[in-house]
Amino acid sequence: MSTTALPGLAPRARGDADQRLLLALTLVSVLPLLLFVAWPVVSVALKSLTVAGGGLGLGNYAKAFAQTNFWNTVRNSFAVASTVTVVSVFLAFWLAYALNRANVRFKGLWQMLVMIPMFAPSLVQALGLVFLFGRNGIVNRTMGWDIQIYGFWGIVLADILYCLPQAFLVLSASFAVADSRPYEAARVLGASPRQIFFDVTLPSVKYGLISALFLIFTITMTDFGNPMVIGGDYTVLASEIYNQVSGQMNFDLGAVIAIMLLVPAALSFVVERYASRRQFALVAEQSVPLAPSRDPLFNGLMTAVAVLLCVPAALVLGIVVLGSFVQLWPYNFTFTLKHYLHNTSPGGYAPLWNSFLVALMSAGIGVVLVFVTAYVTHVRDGRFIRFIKTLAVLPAAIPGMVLGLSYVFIFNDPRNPLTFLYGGLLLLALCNVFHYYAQGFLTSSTRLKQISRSFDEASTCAGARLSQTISRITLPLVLPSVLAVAVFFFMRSMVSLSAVIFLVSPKASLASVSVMLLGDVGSASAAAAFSTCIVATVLASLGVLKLVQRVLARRQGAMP
Amino acid sequence: MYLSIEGVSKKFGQATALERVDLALAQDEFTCLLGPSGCGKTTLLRIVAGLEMADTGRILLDGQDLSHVPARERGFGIVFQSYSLFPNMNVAQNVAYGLSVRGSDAGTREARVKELLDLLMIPEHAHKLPHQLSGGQQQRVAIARALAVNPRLLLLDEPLSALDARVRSNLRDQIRDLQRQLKIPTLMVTHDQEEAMAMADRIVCMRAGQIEQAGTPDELYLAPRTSFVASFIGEMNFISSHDARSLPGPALRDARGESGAAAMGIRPESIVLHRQASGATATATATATATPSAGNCYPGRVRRAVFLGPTTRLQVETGTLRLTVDQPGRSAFAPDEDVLVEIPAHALVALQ
Repeated sequence: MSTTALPGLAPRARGDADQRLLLALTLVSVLPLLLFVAWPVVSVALKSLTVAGGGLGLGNYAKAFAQTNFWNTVRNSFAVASTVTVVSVFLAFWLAYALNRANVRFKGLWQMLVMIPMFAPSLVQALGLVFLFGRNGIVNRTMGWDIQIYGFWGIVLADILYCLPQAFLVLSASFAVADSRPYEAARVLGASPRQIFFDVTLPSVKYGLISALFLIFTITMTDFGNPMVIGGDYTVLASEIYNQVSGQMNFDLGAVIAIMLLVPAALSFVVERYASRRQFALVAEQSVPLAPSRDPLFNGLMTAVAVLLCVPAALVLGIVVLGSFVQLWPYNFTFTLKHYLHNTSPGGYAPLWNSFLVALMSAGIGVVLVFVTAYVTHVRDGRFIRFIKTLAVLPAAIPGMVLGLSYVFIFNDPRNPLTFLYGGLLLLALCNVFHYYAQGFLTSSTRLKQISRSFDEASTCAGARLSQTISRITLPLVLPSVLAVAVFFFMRSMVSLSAVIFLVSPKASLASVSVMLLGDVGSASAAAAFSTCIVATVLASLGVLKLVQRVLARRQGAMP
Repeated sequence: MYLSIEGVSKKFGQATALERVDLALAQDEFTCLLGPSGCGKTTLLRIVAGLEMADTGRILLDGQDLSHVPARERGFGIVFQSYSLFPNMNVAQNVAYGLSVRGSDAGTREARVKELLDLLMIPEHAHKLPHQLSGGQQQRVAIARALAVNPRLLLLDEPLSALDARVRSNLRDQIRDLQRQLKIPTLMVTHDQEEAMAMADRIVCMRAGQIEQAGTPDELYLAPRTSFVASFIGEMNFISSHDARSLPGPALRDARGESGAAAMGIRPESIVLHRQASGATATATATATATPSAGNCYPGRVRRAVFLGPTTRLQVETGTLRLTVDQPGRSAFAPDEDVLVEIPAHALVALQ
């Protein structure tokens, strides 16, 4: 009926306290987005178009395109990304199918195992593969083989392991919302299981599949950690941009590569958003949930699928943890803590502490900003609000490396009054906040939409000011989601590498960067020890969250 | 008048929700806005509440223009269809909410909560959370919450629509009694004509953003001005001038003795059926036959008879007309029986 109005916001006299608060909240949501998302993206684009003399032109592109080396890198990136996308989505499809549609034994265990890579920096998969198949890997040493894991296949394998949980999450969401009626109708009409699979199952997850394909393609195109550790001489765009900027200080070429990364990421973001919106329109309100199959043969087969996919994924990470505790991989397996006690990386454990601080800051700043923005876009409407919404989801289309590089461009510029942020932990935290802003914003928005507008209205009519409604009604209702979003920011910040790699300084470095540097100089065991510390920190904070959530749930009872 | 709505219009994009609506409510009056979904009744209520802004027109309460008074300063109580109790607060906290945001002290709040929970007959639930209560109990709490601040006007937005039939009629009577007792001017939105009839002092029947007719329940039922009102409130047989001309007998005349050209209507329970003896001589049988009073009597035939318990609903054909006739209890007439259909002139209403 009246969806365009401001819920809970009556027509008000000018200068009303509620209006002022709403204006303040709007500014809190839009100014940081302009400063830390819109401006950086524009600055990268401008930088890539600014030729040596200072004017605008396509000179930088022409220079880049003229190098055969550049085209090799582009081809490599596409080769890796398409291989990883096809394989990991294929595998994730069967895993999601098995865990949602079959009666798999120990379902919870498999679901947990498959998610483990999410708790570690992206280069941990590569590290595990090096322990297994590297020059000094356990396989080559014990079998006497000479497997060359460095290069294309190493990156592909590592990225498949890295992407499996993310593809699984998207597809699992598609499989989970099944309506049993079309299946029953097909069966009654005489369709074979095979026909049902192709005619009912596959179309019902079509949009989930499209979503997953584009999501994984973007992740792989822009992943930086795995190629650094296991890529060898095989360069991809993400590692090339690092070499150009950090190694050769070639910012112009860096900007061109950034745009090359941004374009496919932005395109696939658009497709992915479109597809995921379609997916959920498929489920009608009165649908009947589909019960998992009871066929023992099918269930056995699907259990095998789950085991075959989850165990190796977890094993690669397990090897890293194991490797961190032994004297000399793979020759001497005596237990030792020396890789923990004698930290050889620059700054010792300071980066781990920094990571923790940055993650805490990201969680605090991130959760406030995304909830304020979600609230403002929830209660207000209009062209300006739609612009804020677009800005808020835009970060999902910006690869972390591009965002990080753009921060170098604008915050390392002496003309910028915010230069003091450069080289400090706060800018690292802000970079993480805006790198993961879209996911946090969408989660908060979804939660706010679930809260009936009439709560706001009942509160307003009872005489509450907007500040009272927010603090007494809205905030208590979204508190569990606030916690979840804070933990999301915390977790992603702990493991993020690509966005912050350009922004760390010797004084303010981060744990994931230490892992990369240790891996780069061949101290695999030390890198493994450092990774284990990161994973442990993430898992411990997750445990604390679960505890807090349980206490909250007990205090508040069931929330609608 | 206590509440005056003057020339209120509202558009949502291209769609017109309200068009120049004028309405006045007396003090102590229970008024129902009645109409099908999309007629603008909820929008009108929300504009009165201050939750929506009218494009044009103004609302006056006791002579005070509310146009620039925000919802929270209007001092109204509102109850929604969805209960909308704050799930993070218990019953007592919900009821006391309006007082606590105004900064009342704990003692005052406690006394008022107790008073209201007693009034609504739910004193034992004070410390329960909303999700521990049934729908009917939740709605009682919502009413208590709305009444707690001594509202200048009580607004009810389909307060009974989400409840089971029995709870609904129970709470319906209770709200009505409460309103009489407390004398709070009340504006309720409903799409249920029976609810409106049972509760309202005055019904405002709305259609497509405009007021079709406003009046007491009796007026709207017995003297509907338009065919829309006639069909929305109760059942109505419509008799067009074409139908009237087809009747096998003298011209159909209303109470003033005119056989108008305009459409007319008659309620199913107002039609009287007489037994028609087969053959030429119309001999009256003992029970169901009386001499037709005068005029408006036409031979017809029963097409269908459905026994509904309290009444029997018959379909009777005469001329091109197919009339619905309600008779109390079991009807003495059976399908395919020939009857005399009397359409009493005093019960005929002229419709626009």
